[in-house]
Amino acid sequence: MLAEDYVRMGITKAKKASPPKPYIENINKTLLVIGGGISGMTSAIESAKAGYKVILVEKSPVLGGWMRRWYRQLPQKPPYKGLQDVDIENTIDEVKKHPDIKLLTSAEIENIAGQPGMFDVSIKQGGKTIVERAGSIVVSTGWKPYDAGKVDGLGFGKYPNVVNNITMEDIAVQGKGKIKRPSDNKDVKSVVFVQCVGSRDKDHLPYCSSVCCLVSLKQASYIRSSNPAAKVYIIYKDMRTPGQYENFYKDTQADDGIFLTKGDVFLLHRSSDKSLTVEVKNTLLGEDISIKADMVVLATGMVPATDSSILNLRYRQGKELPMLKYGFPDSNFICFPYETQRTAIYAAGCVRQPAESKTCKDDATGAALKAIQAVELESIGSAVHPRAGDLSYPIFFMQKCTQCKRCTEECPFGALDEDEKGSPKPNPNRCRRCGVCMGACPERIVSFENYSVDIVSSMLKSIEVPGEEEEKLRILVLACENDAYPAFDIAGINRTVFNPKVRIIPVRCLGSVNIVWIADALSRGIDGIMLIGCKYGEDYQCHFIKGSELANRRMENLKEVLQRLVLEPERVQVLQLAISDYDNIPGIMDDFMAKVTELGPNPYKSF
Amino acid sequence: MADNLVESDIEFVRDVARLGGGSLKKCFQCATCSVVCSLSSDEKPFPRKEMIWAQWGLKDRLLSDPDVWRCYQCGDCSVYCPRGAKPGEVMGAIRNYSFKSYAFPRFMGRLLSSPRYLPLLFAIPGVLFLIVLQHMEALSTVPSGPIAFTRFDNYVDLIFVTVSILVLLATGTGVLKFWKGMDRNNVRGDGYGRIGIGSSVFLAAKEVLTHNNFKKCDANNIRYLGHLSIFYGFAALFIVTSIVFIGLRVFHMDLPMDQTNPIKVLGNLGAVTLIAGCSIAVYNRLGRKEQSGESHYYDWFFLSVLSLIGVTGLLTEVVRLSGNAAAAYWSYFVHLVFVFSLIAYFPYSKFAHLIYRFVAIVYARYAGLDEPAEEMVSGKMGTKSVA
Repeated sequence: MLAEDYVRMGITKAKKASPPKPYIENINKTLLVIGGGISGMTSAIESAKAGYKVILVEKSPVLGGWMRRWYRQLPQKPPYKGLQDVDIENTIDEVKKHPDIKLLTSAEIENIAGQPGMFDVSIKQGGKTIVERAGSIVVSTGWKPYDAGKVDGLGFGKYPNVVNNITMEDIAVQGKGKIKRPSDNKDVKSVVFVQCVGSRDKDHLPYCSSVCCLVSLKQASYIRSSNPAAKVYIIYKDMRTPGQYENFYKDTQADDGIFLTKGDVFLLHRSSDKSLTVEVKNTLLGEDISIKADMVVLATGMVPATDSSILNLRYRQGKELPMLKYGFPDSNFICFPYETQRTAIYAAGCVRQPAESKTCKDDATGAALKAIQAVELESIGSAVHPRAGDLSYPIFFMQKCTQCKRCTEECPFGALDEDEKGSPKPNPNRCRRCGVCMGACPERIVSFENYSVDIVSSMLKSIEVPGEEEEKLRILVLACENDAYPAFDIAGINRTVFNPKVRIIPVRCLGSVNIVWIADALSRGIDGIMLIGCKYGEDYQCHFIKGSELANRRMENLKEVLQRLVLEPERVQVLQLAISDYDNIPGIMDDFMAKVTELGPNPYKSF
Repeated sequence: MADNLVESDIEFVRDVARLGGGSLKKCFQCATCSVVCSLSSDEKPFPRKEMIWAQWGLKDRLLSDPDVWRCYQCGDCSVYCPRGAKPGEVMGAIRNYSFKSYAFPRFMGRLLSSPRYLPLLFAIPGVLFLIVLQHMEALSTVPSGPIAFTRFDNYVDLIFVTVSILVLLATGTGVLKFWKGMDRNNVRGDGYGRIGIGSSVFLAAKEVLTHNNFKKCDANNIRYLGHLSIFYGFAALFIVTSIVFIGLRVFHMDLPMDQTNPIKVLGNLGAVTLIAGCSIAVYNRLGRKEQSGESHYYDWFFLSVLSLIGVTGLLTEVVRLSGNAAAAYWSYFVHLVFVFSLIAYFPYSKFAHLIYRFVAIVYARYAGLDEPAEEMVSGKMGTKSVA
């Protein structure tokens, strides 16, 4: 029975589907890089080296970003010890000299229209507007320091000798390494660094910027090497030096004159001799302490530079990149670094995640690679990650469209624009082929050549449902191809035995499940239906961002319909399953089977 | 609350590093050491807190911290330290710093802190005894008659009595500073003074005599055996020497004693025990470095002088019995040089740990500082509660 059903479903699919004919336009493979800091320049250089033309747009008159202001930089290579001179000028030179990089400084993006492979980019430069065509985009607009003045009790803006970590670099550059306090230009003998100023604080920046500890260690290190009698205190919440930078921490910690402790700085005041006193509680010294300082450096975190207009996209769903959290435009952090919710637009560097320059360079190289992949795939009419190689694309049977706008609103990638009437205007190159539009459409006018409402409907109709007298139940599972279906695969490879009354149909994403499939299955006498997809909500795992969440919402609506039909809503269940949960499959199936057994056979069986 | 102003002393950090605590800056305050240490309590995470004090160069806190002296450097903390910060060795280095810091007069502390002055240290007693020999016209001719070391007694006793008085004064000064420091810098808890000073001394003496806390050292228990042997070997020799001194001066006792004389037997046993203890200690320091830790000049000076006193003492006795007068007298000469080095440099060398540790234990009892609860001191990680 099981094998027969699968063979029948396979034959049905083969009959109904046709090989997709790719959508191929005249693709421009030029990469647009926005932001000329270390990340943007690295993306530009890496792409140019790979043989692609690059347009680099920087809003200030010079390249280099924040790094041009640094006095020294963190070690860039093993063994990650000691400071290095800032080598940003070499990178700037490389950008300027490369024949394939078109550099536009003092320039800003006016707007971007079109779709991947054929973006029309208007760039404003010196009162003129230049229009360029680009295939994919790397956004590396960087970061801004968090305003230390928003944090109470630290005297920022009130005392001249309380500075943030950016000003600290300026002081070091001005003094050519000699550190003089701003109020009277005297050499500093005692400096206190306060970590996590506003960071990891729900009222300010809830996240850790991951670089401030390193920056303070770096600055402590150069203060000490310029003045061996200087004492440097670092008051931290937790010392965080990701990855190999642990070596740098160890190395800096070994300095006799650098004193570290965990602690909460709760007050800072100025004594009569103009020196500052920092009051610290909850220290590792086992007592509350106060430290006298000539200068206090507040280690502030990084805020992604996404607050103002950057892209001004001509997309129906909005002008900028949708933010994941805290203003970072990333997509799923673990599975899809660099990806944003806009196809062929990738985020790199500090706009994506707070990072030091080495991580920025790695990031920028990764994003450049993604951008190159995007133009290459678009040029053969293929989808990009995570359905790279898929040549199908959604086809709209417009005569039946009711302009309900569900598809244009729900598309996770803003692929669909609208005309004046509200009908969808597809941009196939922006599409990632998840099928969310197909799941959304009440008129069922959206289909792919090899994946459509009709194909899946016909497949599930070809399942042989045991009659009432046979007392056998039949369960349909619609499993997401990305995690749930592979979990079944692994269960199979491990020869895990699960209930044989289950029939599984893979779907591109739970978001592509059209409610009509549920209705069809139930009216055919199938006793229970499970929709298994990725985790949604906070820390979602959905490969198409909103698919599983949308499916869940649609099924909530379906419940009312089922009740009207006098069918128990428990017959349809939406479930979240991670690829690593394959061991739980037999249990999940048995539980659902038990529930359906309790409900009894589907009353529509005899019809 | 600006009263708790901390002033870091970079020079102190460097000194501790030089005196055997070179790894102190590696500590990142994970408190693994406090978890394995039997001295540690929830309120006083030893030696985790001492490590950050040392890193911060907070000299006053460390020099007045009795816990630094209640540590027997079992090495558990150094063995388990994930960062290689070797807290045990750092505590040792702080103790070495204390010898120097409490030294009176100060230059004596400096003379004992570096091998540079070693020749001078031995030259002082050497020259002193040569002058005695010269004065007694015994430098070029071997005194005739039976071999009798008592013939030098007037001068030898004069030197040692004088030195002992000076040493007592110097030690007293150091101990007083130490006690005052402890009293000033430790918060007086409820238990302060509950046990009288007499009882505190008694309890401390009991701990020292039984070595019962030292015994709890897990990683380095061979040291317990070595220390016990040295301690009791030395104690026996000290008692014998005192008896003989009083016997000679008060009761005009006949020397040398017969080998079967109980006092002689005790002396010989003491010498053998001392040498055995020293051998264990040397083996421990050279052969089991991981547990014993790096040894510093302070350790080697004290251990060498002790060993050489034992060896030259026994040698002198053997040569005397063999009847070779010249060799016997010169052995005795060398023996006395080492005895002088031990006694005269007592307050400045590692030998002073005897008194500082004792005082620290007395203070801890007197001030009612939390004593390790009995169930927590087995020293095994599994049996400890980590709160």
